[in-house]
Amino acid sequence: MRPDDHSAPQPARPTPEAQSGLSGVDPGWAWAPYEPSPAIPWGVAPAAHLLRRAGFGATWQELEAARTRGPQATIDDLLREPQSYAGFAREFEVQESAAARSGDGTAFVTWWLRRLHQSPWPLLEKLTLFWHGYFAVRAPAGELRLMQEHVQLLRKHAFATFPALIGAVAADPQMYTALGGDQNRRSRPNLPFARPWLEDFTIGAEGATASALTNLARAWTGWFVYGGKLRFIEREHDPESKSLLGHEGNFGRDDAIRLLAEDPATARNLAQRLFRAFVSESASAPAALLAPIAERIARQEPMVDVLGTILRSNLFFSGHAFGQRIKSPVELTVGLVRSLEGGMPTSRVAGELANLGQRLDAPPTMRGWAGGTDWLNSITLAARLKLCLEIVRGPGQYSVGLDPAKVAARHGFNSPDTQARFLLDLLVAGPLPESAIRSLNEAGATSPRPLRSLLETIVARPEFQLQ
Amino acid sequence: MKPMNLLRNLCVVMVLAGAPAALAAAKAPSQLIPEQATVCLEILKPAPLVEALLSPAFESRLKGLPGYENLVSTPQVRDLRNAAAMLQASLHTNWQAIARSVLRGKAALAFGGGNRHLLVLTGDDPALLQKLHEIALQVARSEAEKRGESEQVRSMDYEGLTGWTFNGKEAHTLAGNQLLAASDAAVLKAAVDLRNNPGASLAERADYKSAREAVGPEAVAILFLDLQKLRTTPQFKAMLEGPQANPLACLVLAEFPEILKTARWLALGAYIEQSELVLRAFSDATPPAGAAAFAQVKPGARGLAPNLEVPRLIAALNLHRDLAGFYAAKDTLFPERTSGLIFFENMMGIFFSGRNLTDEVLAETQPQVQLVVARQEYDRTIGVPEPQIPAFALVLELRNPDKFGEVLEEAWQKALGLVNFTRGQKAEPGLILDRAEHNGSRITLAKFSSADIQDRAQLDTRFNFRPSLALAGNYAILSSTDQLARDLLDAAKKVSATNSAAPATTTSLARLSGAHLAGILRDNRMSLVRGEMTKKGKSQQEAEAGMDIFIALVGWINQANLATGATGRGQMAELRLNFSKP
Repeated sequence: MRPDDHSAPQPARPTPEAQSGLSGVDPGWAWAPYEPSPAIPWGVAPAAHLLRRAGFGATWQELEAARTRGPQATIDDLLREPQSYAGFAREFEVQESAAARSGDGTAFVTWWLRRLHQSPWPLLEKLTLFWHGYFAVRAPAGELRLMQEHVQLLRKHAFATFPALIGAVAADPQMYTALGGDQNRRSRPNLPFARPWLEDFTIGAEGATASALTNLARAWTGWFVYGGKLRFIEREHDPESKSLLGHEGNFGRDDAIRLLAEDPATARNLAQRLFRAFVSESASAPAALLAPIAERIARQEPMVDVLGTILRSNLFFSGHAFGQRIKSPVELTVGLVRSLEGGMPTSRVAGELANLGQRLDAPPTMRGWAGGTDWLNSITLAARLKLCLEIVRGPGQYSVGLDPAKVAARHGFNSPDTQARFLLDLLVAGPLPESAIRSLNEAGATSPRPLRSLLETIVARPEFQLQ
Repeated sequence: MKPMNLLRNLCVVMVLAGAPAALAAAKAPSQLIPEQATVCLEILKPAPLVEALLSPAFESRLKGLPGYENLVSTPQVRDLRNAAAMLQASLHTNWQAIARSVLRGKAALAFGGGNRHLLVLTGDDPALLQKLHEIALQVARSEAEKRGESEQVRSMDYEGLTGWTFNGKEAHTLAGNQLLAASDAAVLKAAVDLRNNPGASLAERADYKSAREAVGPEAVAILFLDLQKLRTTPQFKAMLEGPQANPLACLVLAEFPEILKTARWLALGAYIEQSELVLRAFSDATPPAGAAAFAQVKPGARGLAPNLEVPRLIAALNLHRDLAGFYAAKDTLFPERTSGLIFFENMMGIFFSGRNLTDEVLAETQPQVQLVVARQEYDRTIGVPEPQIPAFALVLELRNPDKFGEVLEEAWQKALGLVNFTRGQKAEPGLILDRAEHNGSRITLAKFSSADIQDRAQLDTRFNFRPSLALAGNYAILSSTDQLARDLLDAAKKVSATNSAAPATTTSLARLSGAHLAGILRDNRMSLVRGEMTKKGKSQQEAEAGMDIFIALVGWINQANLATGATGRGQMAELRLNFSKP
């Protein structure tokens, strides 16, 4: 395709389908692999949608590669570890360890943000961030090393089966430190410690009866963190028989976690969370629609396959998904800078993200960031807009070397019309109404710095807040 | 609008003027600068500076900079070298001769409010200047045509001179052997008007004349600041208000904020004295009676003792400060009761068992305060931490060491106990308290155990600290390491023996060693590089290159010595920079 060829039909605006809800959607059609069709053709817009959901925005080069390779091959690439990842990961682990060792919480978040911005495997980072919001614990004061190891553990098991992941998380000292595991003693099992494992991480609040909570806490007794290491103290473990989810036995921690992870309710809850994170926040998915995904989780398929099913699906490329999520502050800023091939002074940006409600090392609750419309209120909306404008105005405090004119020219967009189209394709979920495009063109035409002005107008549009 | 009015906010001016015989017809640059100038940097004797910059020694220094080869192979520098080669070929001479000719006379450059600026550059060969301009004009025309903006390169005649612009905004002209280059046409017209007719120039201003007189004829350059105008700018206002929010800044800066608030002008003179670059600050301010009295040396009192010399010294700050007087005036000096100040007072109340901080604690110290920073030598059997933090110490002189020494020791031990308690609450390893002797002086020290540490190559940051209190004679040394405390005890003994003191007008002495500062920067290179990467969004390669150049430049300074204190000539401060041999 020539750089200025934008005549390919764009996917329809999602609004009508999204408004019609998901109750009538056939699960068989929904999760079947998407094949480009005249109704929903493959092109720049669906490729951008995929790369925004499976990462943090895309450069024009990445968009073009995706457009050329087609949806299924692109998703294969997204799920597969890139060759350059091992070296990248080694380098970042050294830097993150040094930041954690320094005891400076800001430095730790700063390196994490830099990783999100530069990772050659964005889907891994996206999924790690999802799990961080799923097993949402904060970094206790002075325990950054544990937090770093926790995030690294989530990253290592991100694509594994759910039982393998939660099994590893259950042996993570950070979870004990953050959830009060040191108070869980044989003489007095700590129910608040057991509660999130039932209510938030597995079967949900409905199944979290007093008996289940007590028996889970009892099964977990004996584990303590000393000097940052998890140790099992036999005499503190309750050796009596326990009853959990209809099973009886002398369960220990690992048995209990296995029972919870294998329960069908856990699979249903996880399917719902995945749907919200990767498909849509605007509509609640009926259980019947999510049943095929929940079944895959229950069959202990690796997450790489479960997520692959979601990303490849008709539903993912339909109007039910297009523009149906509000960008988190991290997605908003990292995506903007990444798409425009700029550098990011992450220590400054980290502070602004905290003001917008997303401090990476401190999820607000045990259920992580609520997301969706919770990101927006009159104050954060103004602050999001201000931050985006600061980023694109450059050179400033929040971006380095971000020059839309140079990026557009590098990819062969030299006329004002094609440059406008280029920026819209890169940054906005789905096409804008013609009236909006006219007003964008007018903004560009009357400014001494037309492309910057156009960019400022784009990031100020409501559509830019969506993905 | 009159052109002069347009210059109202002119901010910085820099002037170059030429060899007296050749430039007799040219006006001094300061005579071409409108009187509204706010800041003016004027190079009065460019020859020594130009020769130093063109010397083989400087060239070899530049070539020795890390990444020099990479730098000169960038497309921008390659273009610059090609341009220089073209100039040399066109003018049948070398670029050093061109530079000497263009920069031979006095020089001045001015920047102003709203980014207005004016450059006056006086060469010694009008024909050469003309040829250089013709070449630059050709390049500018060619570049503008490439951009499709050829109309931006144009000229206009004014008062018998031809003014040019290369980008539609800047404006410049050649007037004999002078180049006048301005941010815009209005500023240039104002300069031309002053050239052709007598007018109100900077040179005629009484405060500028006073400043020139203060810096003296031996200065090679002068930076003149109109403080009355600068004080109206928000940035300067914020800078003046800074110390009021920070008691420590207030203590260190003493009378300086008051001078900047009341003086009409400030001048910095640059001098070259015995291969040292010396900068001296002058002003017309007479600090109001009572302002920063805590920093003034009382009649008959001894002046500042010299800086304590310790091995691996990075920096030392030696202040004449009456701490009790300073704290007694706190409601005037820093009236805001910040949470930090309240916390400090509460802690002092605990450490000193409820004694009155001003009268019963600070009044026990002499008005001599020293801060010392030095590199550490780590015990390899313990290990090396990362990052490596230099050792630092506060040295006080006690009025009644026999009585107050124990009070101080008790407070010190309480502070260490509090640190241990707080760390214990967070399940962090605590300090082991110990006593030691050094040449008959006792040291109370505390250290972390490294017995259980497996990887000693990169110890935790805490291993930078072995907090120590040493008492010897009148001296009380509070140090971050016992090593520095021991070195200071040795240094104090030598000072007592010599008993030399600075002039009574000196209120502060500071020293910085470039080699040791570069050394500590080198030791922490990767930590600093990491900071650059995340703070400025640089790649590792860019951050490393920048940091290596910065460390090399710091290493160029052998020693920097700063002395402050008002003298009869209006001198406020003197900074002597001694450069290391290439």
